[in-house]
Amino acid sequence: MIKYWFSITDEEQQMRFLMRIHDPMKQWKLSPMDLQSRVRWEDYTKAKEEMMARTNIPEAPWYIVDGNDKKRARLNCIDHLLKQFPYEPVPHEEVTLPNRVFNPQYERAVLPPELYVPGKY
Amino acid sequence: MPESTTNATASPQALDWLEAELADAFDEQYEIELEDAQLSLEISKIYKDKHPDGDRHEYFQSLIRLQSELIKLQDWVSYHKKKVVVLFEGRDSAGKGGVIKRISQRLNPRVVRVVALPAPSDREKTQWYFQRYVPHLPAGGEIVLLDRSWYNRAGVERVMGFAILP
Repeated sequence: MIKYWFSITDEEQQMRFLMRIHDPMKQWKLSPMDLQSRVRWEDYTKAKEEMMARTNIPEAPWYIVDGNDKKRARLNCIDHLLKQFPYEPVPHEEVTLPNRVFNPQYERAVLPPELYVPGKY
Repeated sequence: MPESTTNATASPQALDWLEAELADAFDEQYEIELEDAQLSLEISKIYKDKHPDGDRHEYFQSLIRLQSELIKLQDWVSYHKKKVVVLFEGRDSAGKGGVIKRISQRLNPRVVRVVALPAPSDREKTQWYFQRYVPHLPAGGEIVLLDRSWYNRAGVERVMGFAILP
């Protein structure tokens, strides 16, 4: 089990929230609850600190990802995740594409056109 | 899922097809990135000033390389019947969703699952908080990515007064 905490600064969150408010594709990400989390930024900080203090155990430590730069955060996190496992190549059955069997009697039944989704694009 | 293409011969036709297939994979990545661009221009300009674009080419290259490593990890987990839970917590908009998307993007949904539970129902509210996560924990050979988790109890739930302090 691996636990990541994505951290961002106060200023960055403010900016991302503003962007979400103005972007119809992203408004769904903002619930009234999320907005409250702006108001209660400091309470969240306290709750986070206490949670980390109590739940950072050797069997399941927390890893904090600096999330202020989204792209770097993604790469850093995936890179770190991969390093947590001693994975190695596993035996694969070689994939070979078998030839399709042709049957001289095969006749393709035509399906009624209304079964097809209209090709609008 | 992409079809297996191991038997593609090097005929010009096959190459065209391969090129189209590669372009399609790239477009998929691009579409996901595009959502970052769908903003009102003004705000996106302010944001861009704060976040110079960096080397996108390098970003894509690194991402694709890491994603191909994730495939090896997936195969390893699946082969050895390991159980993996990766959970993501953090403040709203910190980018949890984005990284989860990139991790799962090129993996087998039968091996890698994303779990993002909605607010607890009335029935669930009477249960142990951890209980509603139990059915989602992995079986052998599965990776579960949790978008928020039982640790919510110590975060939002607590700050918003949903959790009763001992």
